[in-house]
Amino acid sequence: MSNNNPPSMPISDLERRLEELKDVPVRSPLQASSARARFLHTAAEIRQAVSSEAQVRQSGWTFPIRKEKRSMNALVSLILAASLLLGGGATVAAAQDDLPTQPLYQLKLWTENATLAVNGNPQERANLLMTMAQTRVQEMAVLAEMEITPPAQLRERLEQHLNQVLKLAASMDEATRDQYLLQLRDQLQSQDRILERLQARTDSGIDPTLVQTRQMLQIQLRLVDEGLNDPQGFRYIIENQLQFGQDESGTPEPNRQGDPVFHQYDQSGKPFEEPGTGNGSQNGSGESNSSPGNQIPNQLQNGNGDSNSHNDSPGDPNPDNPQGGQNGQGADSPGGGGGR
Amino acid sequence: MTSIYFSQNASQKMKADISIEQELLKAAQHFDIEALGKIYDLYSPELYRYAIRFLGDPCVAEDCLAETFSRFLNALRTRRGPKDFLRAYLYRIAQNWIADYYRRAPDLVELKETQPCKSNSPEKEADLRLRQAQMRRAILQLTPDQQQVIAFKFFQDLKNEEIAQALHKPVGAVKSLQHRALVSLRKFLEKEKPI
Repeated sequence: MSNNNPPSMPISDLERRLEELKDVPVRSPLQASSARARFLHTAAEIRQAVSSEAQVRQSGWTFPIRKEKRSMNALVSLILAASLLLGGGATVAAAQDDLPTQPLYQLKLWTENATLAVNGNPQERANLLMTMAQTRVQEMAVLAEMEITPPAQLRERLEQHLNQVLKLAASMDEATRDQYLLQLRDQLQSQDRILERLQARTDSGIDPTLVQTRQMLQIQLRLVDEGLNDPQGFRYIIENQLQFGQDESGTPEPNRQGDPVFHQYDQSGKPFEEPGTGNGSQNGSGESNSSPGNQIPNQLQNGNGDSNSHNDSPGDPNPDNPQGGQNGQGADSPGGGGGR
Repeated sequence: MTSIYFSQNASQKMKADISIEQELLKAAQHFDIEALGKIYDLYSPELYRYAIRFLGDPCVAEDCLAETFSRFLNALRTRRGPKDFLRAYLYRIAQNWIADYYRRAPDLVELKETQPCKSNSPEKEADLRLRQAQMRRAILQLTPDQQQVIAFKFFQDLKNEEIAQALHKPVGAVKSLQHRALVSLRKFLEKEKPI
């Protein structure tokens, strides 16, 4: 009986409800290009495995007979050189999908650095650097999926980009800084998840680059949390303690000690000098951390540890937070276990 | 007069689209990388939007998209790929993946930090997410054809003629599918507890 009754919800309500699903976030262009590259790589592999190119067999005599042996003449060379020069834009565009193992990768880096160099606006620079950092993670992911160990320079570049974003954020006004730090925190968490999934999926848990990169991302995350909870301490750390081994061109210089150097801190967040090292020395932290990616302030190394002086400071508005690290965040499920 | 002109133009455009699609598909069957790249560029944006509307999470939508195109490649490899109507074919793969996902995944609505929050109020945001999840459940209980019609009509804003072309069905059938889909959605939502 009741099934014969016409439904009472007006069509406009239904359309409004459907409208609520219409608005979707824009797809990350980097994610898109990385996914496209993976798709085409798979296609190329299948093509090689399944269908060999049909070979066109010469079925008769041709004149002149010497055609196959003749080397490229000067005119052809000239045309080729001109096309390379004039088609430079296409080459640069083609380089954008290249991986560190591919020939045009240096061109890709050069393009990125040139874009960064001509941009004077700190906010746009921060955006560019975040995009570059995301690109590095995507490259790492694609390489790992192809079962190629990502080169250590990739992690170094990623770290440089992130350090530069933090440095820029430290110089911004409060509202803009918080906005960038929140954005950076989301990005870092997302990057960490990508690498985590990759480790689980590709059984590459022993890959030192992936492991070091994840450790480095955790450290950056703690720095970001520091910036959100204690802006002054954060600015102090960034401005005085991070010694960048490069300018802001985006590409790491050849390693003096390798990476940006983070110095040791005492409980009040002030740096202390290690025996035999001067204040602000480039060699300050090399002793205690064998891995370059681990050259970090002590209090940032232990996310849950008691040594986290900034977290324990009386001025900290939220002692339970973020520095608790991944466990704290991962355990948060809406509604909790009891709700279900 | 104007409407006739427009409909003729639209019809010509659709024919051109189908012809391009056929050419790309033919080349893709021989694993022409350029054609496969064009297919990806042509359909991945709308498939991503389709997936994220149903899944609500960019990461899962990326997985769906990757798997959709991976299955397409496998189908081409085993010569069981589509001979025509590539768009509808890709949508169907994505739709099957989404249905499988919801069959496997627990029915819960997560408010993730990575997802953009449109409103300032967490309560409003939570309500919105719950309503969206309810609507997704409602759409997922429709037949596959009805789901595609709803997605094309209300999410992609396609006209009935375009939907008919994409799904290789008469316009009348599309209208009928749409009507039945809306009736089913209303029934489902009326049965559910209001949010």
